[in-house]
Amino acid sequence: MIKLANPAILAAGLLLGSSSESAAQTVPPNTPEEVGRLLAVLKSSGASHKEKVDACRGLAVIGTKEAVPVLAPLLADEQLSHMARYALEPIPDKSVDGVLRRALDKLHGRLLAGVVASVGVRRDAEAVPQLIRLLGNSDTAVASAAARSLGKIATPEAAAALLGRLAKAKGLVRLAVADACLACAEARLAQKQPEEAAAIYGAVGKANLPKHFRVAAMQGALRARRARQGK
Amino acid sequence: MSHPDGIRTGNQASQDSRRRFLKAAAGAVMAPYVIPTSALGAEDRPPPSERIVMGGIGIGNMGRGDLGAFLSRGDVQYVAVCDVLKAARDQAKGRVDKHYGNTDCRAYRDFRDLIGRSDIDAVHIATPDHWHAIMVVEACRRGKDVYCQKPESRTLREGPLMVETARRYGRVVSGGSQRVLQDYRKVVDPCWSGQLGTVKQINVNVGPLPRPCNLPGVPVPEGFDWDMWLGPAPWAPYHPYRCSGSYAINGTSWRSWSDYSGGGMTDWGAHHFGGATFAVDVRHLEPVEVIYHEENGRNYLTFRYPNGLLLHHNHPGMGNLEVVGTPGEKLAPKTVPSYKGQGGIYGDFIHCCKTRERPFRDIEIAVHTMAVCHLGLIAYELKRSLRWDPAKQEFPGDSEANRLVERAKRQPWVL
Repeated sequence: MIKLANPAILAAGLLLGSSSESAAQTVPPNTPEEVGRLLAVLKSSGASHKEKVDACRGLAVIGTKEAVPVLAPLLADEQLSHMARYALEPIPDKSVDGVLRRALDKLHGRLLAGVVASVGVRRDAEAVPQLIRLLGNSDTAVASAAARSLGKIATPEAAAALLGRLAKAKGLVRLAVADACLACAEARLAQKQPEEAAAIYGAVGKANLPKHFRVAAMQGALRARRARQGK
Repeated sequence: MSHPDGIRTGNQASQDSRRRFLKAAAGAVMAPYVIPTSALGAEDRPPPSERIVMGGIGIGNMGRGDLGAFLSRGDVQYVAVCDVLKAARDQAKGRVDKHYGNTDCRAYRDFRDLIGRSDIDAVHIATPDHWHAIMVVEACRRGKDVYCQKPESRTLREGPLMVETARRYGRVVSGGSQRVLQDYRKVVDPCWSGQLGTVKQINVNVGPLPRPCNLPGVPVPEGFDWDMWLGPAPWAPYHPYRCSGSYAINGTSWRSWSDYSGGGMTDWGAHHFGGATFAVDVRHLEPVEVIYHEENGRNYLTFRYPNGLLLHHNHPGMGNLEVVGTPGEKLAPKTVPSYKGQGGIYGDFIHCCKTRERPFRDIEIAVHTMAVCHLGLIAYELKRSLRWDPAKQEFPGDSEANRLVERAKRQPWVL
C-alpha cells in the first residue's frame, strides 16, 4: 500500500476536522408519537413562535399526510406561512398539492408568491390553469413566480401560455416569462419533443429581448435542429 | 434618483445636466481638455472597451478581499458595490472611488439593482451561503458572468439549477476556492504524475457540522437591512452572532448555523474535498454511495465513486488528504490543469470572461464538490448510509433522504 500524507495539510485537517460526532442532530425520531407531538405544538395556543417554527422544521423531515390539514391554515399566517411551506413542500403526499392549489385562490402578495413557488417545486401539473391566471397578476413577485413555476412544470399548456404572455408582459415579469419559456424548451427537448422545443426557441429568438436571451434561443434552436435530425 | 440603467428622471436629470454644463464650461475656460493616458490604454491598462466592468455583492469580509483583487487589475473597471450593511457599502464605495480618483462607484442595498445595470459585465458574490444560488441564478438571468465564493450552494438541489442557468445563457461562472489548485500540490502532483499508480482511497478531515441557531433577538443596528440579510432563510430575530462574518465556526458566526451554512463540512469542505477530488481526478463525477460508519462511538463516512474510488471523511487514523495508491503500479503522467490568464483564480475568471472559456473552478466542477459536502451532511443527519443517483439527482427509492435535498425559500425568493 502506498500512502502519501502531507504534514502541513494533515495538521490543518486536525485543527478543523474530526468533529462530525459533535453536531447537533436536526432530524427528529421518525415515529408516529413524534409526529403527534409536533402537531400538538402547532395546534397549541400556548406554544411560542420559535416552538412552532421548530415543529415545522421537524415535520419537513418526518411529517405525513396527517400533518397536512394542520399546516394548511398556517399558509395564510403572515408569521408562519414560510415555515408551513417549509414543512409541506417535501411531504410525499398528494394532499399537499390540493392544499397549495386551494391557497392559490385565497392568498395575495408575498404569501401568494411563496405558495406559487412551492407549487413549482412540486411540479404540480394540475395547478397549471391557476398559474396561467396568475401570470397576469399585478404583483411583480407573484407574476414572476408563476412564470418560474410554469417553466418548471413545462407541460405543453404551460409553454403555450408563457409564449402568449411573452408579447404582453413588461419589465422584470417579461424577463421571468422569457426565462421560463427557455426552461420549457429545454424540458421539451429532454422529453424528445424537438419540434415543440424548436417552436419555443424560435418565438423567444424573435422577441425583443436582451441579447443573452436571443443567443440562448439561437443555440437552443440549433440543439433542437440536431435532435430533429437524429444527431 | 438615478436609475440603475442610467435613466434619469425629473429634477435629477435637469440638475445633473446643469452641473455637467457648468463643469464643462469651467474646464473650457480654466484648462485645456486632457484625456488621461489610462483612458486610451496606456500605463499597462487596456482601453476601456477591453476592460471587464464589475460590481461586487456582499463586500464585508471575503468580499472585501475579492474586491481588492479585482480592483487591482488594470483589465477590470469596478463600478458598483452592494451590501445590506450601510457601513460596509459606504466603506467599499470609498475604497473604489479612492482607487480611481473619482466618485463614480455606486452603492446598492439590493443586489437586484446592481445586476439590473446593463453596463456591468460581471459580478462577484461573497454573501453568506444561503444567498449564493439565488444570486448566481439571477445574475446569469441578467446576462452577467459570476465569480461566486465557496461554498457555492447550501442545498443539493441548488447546484444543478446554477449549472443549468449558467449553461442556458452561456455565462462564465467560477466557484471561489483558490486553495483547490494552490494548497494541495504536494498531494496533487504525485497523483497526476502516475507514480502512485491507481489511487484507490483518499481521506479528508474537516468539520464541524452546522447546528440550529437558538440565539435570542436583540435590536437590529441602524443601517442594517436585516430582512434582506435573511433573504430566503427562515425569519429569525437579529443577533450579532447569528450573522457575524467571522471565520469562526464555534457559534459566533453565520458559518455555525444550519439555516445559512453547512458549517465546516461545506466551508473548509469546499477547499479540502475540492482538493481531494482534484488530486484523484474525479472532479467531473459525484459519488454513487455514502457509507456511514460507527466505530467506538465515533462516526465517519466513505463516499464511493462510480470508478471505484473511495473518498473518506474523518477516517480514523488517516490524515487530511492522505492518499492510498497501488503498490508497484506506475501510470502515464498527466498534465495538471491550471489557471488561464494571469493573477491566480481571479485572473483565471477575468481571462475566461474575455475568451468565453470555462474557468478552472467552473461552476459544474464546484457543484460536484458541493454535492460531496451535502451528501455527507445528509448521511450524518440521518445517521445511515445512502445511495445517490447523480444523473437524476435523487436518492433512489429513499423518500426520507429525498426530503433533505432542498428547503422551501422564504417568500418572495424563488430559485
